[in-house]
Amino acid sequence: MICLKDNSQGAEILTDYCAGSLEAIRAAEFEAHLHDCGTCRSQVELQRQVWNALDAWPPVEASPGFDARLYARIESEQKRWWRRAMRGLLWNPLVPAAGAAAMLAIAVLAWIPGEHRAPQPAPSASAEKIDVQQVEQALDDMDLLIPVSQSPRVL
Amino acid sequence: MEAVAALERDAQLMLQVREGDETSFALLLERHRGPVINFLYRMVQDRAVSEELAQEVFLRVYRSRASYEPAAKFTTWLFRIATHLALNALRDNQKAKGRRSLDHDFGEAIERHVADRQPTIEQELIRNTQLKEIRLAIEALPEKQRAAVLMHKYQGLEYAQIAQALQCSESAVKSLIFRAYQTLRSRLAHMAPGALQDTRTRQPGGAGDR
Repeated sequence: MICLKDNSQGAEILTDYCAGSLEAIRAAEFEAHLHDCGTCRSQVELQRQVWNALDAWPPVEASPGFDARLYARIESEQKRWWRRAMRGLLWNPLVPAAGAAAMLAIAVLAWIPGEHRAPQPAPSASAEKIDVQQVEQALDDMDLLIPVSQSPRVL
Repeated sequence: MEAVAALERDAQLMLQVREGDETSFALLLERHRGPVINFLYRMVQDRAVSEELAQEVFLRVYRSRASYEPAAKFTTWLFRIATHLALNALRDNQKAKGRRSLDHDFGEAIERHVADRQPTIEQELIRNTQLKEIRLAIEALPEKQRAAVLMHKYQGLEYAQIAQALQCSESAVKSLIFRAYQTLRSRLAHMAPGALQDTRTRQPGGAGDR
């Protein structure tokens, strides 16, 4: 037996029953109870009245230009986005500076490579010899500079 | 089953929008434009404001296309955006500005209805009064209760979906909805059911604006 008074889900049963969304088995059970319960019957009657009264509020139609207005807004928003993006690029002080730097870098790279990539003359054999001699001489000079106190003791 | 298929279709369409397919966006707009506008209209009760907010909803959907992941149901996501915007608009008290146009819209809706069925002047007055009462009863609800009950009644969203849209628990949503209906029952109880029959556009238990 489903009685709205004694049921914690009474409000839900009443609402769903009048909205036609109560499960068929429960609806049948509730209908059987309605034959014997005047209180529930009057509750159902009141809820149905409200339900029907709300049906009396007619829906409105969209105005004829609704879609056109919406598409115009979408289009103008997209244009605005592009304009904003472009303006952002043009007015950003970093952009001209970055452009100038890029141009300069390109110019430098176009002009310098010849110098950088020019093959270096191979060191001649005599030059290598001189270098070795110079290094040896330098090491000898350094040995002479070491103080006596720090020189290794000869036992 | 049909609802699941419809949701999958929405998610597929949105994924196609993500890939740059504009036609899929047009299809999504076609499918959800009406429900979103009506939800917002009933929330803010101003036609111009509701259309403006609906535009913002679809604009946000379009903006989010690149990052869209079908983690939640598309309608849940959509109504989450719509609810967020509606609640913000209400908090900004924008509805006060549109009070005059609400009455104008309301009159227009009744006028159309009258023209279709040709009721008597008396019936027209009764209907006018009843519709105003319904509107005022909804308007008097706290914002979250209003959003929850509108999504439940007119959009047919499940409790879990409404909970996601309102970013609260399912039990909190149930509480919001039941309290809202309780308030509406006490406010609208005096309305004779017979008198409402003529103005009804759907059967009880119907699908609302879906």
